[in-house]
Amino acid sequence: MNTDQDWARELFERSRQGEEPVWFADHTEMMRTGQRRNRVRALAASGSVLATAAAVAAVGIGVAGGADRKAPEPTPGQSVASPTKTAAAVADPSKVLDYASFDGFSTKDGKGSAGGFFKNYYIAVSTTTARDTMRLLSTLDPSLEHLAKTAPIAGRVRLVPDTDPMAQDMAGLNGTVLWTESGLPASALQPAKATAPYGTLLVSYVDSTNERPAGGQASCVTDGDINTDLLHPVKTSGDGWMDAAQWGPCTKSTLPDGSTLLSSTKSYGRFVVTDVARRFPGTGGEVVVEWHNYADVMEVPTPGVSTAPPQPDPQRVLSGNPVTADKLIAALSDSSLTPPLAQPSVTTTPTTMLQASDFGSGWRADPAGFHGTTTDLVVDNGCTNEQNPVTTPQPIYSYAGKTPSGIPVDVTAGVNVMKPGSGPSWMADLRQHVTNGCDTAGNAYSRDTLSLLPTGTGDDAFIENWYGQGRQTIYIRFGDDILRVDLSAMDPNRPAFSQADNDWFAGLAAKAAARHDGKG
Amino acid sequence: MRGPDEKEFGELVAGRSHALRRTAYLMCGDWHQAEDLVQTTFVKLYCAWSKVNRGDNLDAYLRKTLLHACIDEKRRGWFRREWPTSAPPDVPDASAVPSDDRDLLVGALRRISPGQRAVLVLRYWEDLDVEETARVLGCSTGTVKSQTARGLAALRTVVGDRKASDAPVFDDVTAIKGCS
Repeated sequence: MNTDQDWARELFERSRQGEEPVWFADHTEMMRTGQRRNRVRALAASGSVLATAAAVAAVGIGVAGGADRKAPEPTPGQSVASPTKTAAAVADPSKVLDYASFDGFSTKDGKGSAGGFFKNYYIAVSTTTARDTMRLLSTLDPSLEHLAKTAPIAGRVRLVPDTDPMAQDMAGLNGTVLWTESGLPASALQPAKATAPYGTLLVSYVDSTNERPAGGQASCVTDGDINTDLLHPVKTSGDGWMDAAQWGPCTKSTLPDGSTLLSSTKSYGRFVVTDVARRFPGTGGEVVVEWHNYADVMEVPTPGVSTAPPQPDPQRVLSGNPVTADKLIAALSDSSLTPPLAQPSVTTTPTTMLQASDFGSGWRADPAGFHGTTTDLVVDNGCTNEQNPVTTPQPIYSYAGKTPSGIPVDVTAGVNVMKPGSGPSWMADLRQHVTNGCDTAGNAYSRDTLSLLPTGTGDDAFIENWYGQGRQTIYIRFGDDILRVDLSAMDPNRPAFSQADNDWFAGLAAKAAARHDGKG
Repeated sequence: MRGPDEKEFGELVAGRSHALRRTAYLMCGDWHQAEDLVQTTFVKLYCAWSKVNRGDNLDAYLRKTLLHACIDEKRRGWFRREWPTSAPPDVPDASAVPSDDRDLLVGALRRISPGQRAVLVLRYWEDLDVEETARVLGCSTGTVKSQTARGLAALRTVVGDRKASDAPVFDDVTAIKGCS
């Protein structure tokens, strides 16, 4: 007889055979994060590790987008026909996510390094960035027939207007494009057992030369950024590796608009890496393209076995070098390319809401921090998660800065407008759930506590201390309106707030109440 | 406080990360989130290195931390239904035919309560016995047994009846009463 237990064992056992996305668990990155370095940038792409070199708050995500979906492995001799291209489709910016996996980014503030980034935000590819990327790609491959088709990671990468707040908050954006000989889709190129050769174009946009573009290795192009790909790795006297292949001479030229064009190439045998950068004048930022004509060795780390540095796979080199330095220079010389990544616009926060100056010096309104509306009053204590619809959604405003003890935090503030007469009961519900968190049968899902605020702060007010979460929430009721202010540490390690910080939270509550009453 | 040396930690990550990612994937149904959760788990281990009794208890520590990381991820305030634009569904399209058994399993697990999900994943994926499962979840063996029975019945219903895709999806911790 097939009991439930037998059936379950069989089902779970069968599921062990499923395919999995390629993933490289970068322990060094985990150690760095553990050491409270304010970066999380484990970027695995093309089956190997690439450096995302954005200087501040850079985040890498998984494997190059799309290739991490269910990945059928091509069988020997299998070929996939190239899709027919039409002239109209060649430079269509709306197709950019079909070819480029935007797999690394940084933001102008620290939100890029905050835990749960993709719960609240997304990688924004602006219309201008999309257009410029497609111009670059169609210059290099006019029919786009060599570019591997890919697909964006659902919800994580979005094609948005230039005016999108998140687009305006991007400080760096890295895209990966795979160049094939046969038109294989990206999903067929990266599983561990794939054998088809391919090259890689790494396109990097940064908003100023203070940010480092991804990948770039040539010292003249990127001022000596870290080299992670070794064409001819040789052991150093210690445990390290160095590349016996050397970068060639640096070429430099100036374009009519004042942009500087830099390029350099290194090669070893059939392996070629070329960097080309266009630096726009002033603070116009930089576009860098790095080209590899090979796929990297796919190596699965083995416990106790030393891992060699990323290096080319001799079995997966393209025939010749289809993307030469001259072609890259020509593509980047295009006069229609624009300085990347628009500057943020200034938005105003209504005077009835907290102003950036209320938080203290160095604080600023963060137009791209969050731009939803208060659709639900959320009651959450770790065991309960109620989402109670509001009657009239209100805008949510964002701010960013540091607490008195120096902890970088981002803040959202919005008013939940509840049904007439229901405000006090909702506040009581919040209060009940917040108090002492939630403990189910000895399993403490939260240990939140409540801090009272002085009488006269609105009609009722308190602060929820999210124990161990690096977060505080201020609730203030005004009749049936409940103002909610969330202050969250950007550091994913969720540092504890100091007493000075707690006093400051209480002061903010008073200011928020005064603002609401028009006394701010 | 001394942390692990890189070689020791690297071997640990290499040896455990993929198995943990599979477990996390079954819990959350998203490979990227699973990777984030595994990274969070190892970062926490690194930070608590001097306090963690390594050896036989290390796997239990990692599992427990991973489970709580899953729970923490669900505790992100009012944002859950306020994505700037429409968010993709967290579960496979019910009309789509699952591409493999794991898709089928993950889709079904999303439709049972998180408490039951955790018990089933630990029992049948991690192959823990009742006592070990109870230890990881911090509840009694009786609770694990009852949750296992209920979870299996629910899972079998969901897997066996495609219409069950209309059943509610438990995507938050509301129903984590797995040990009650």
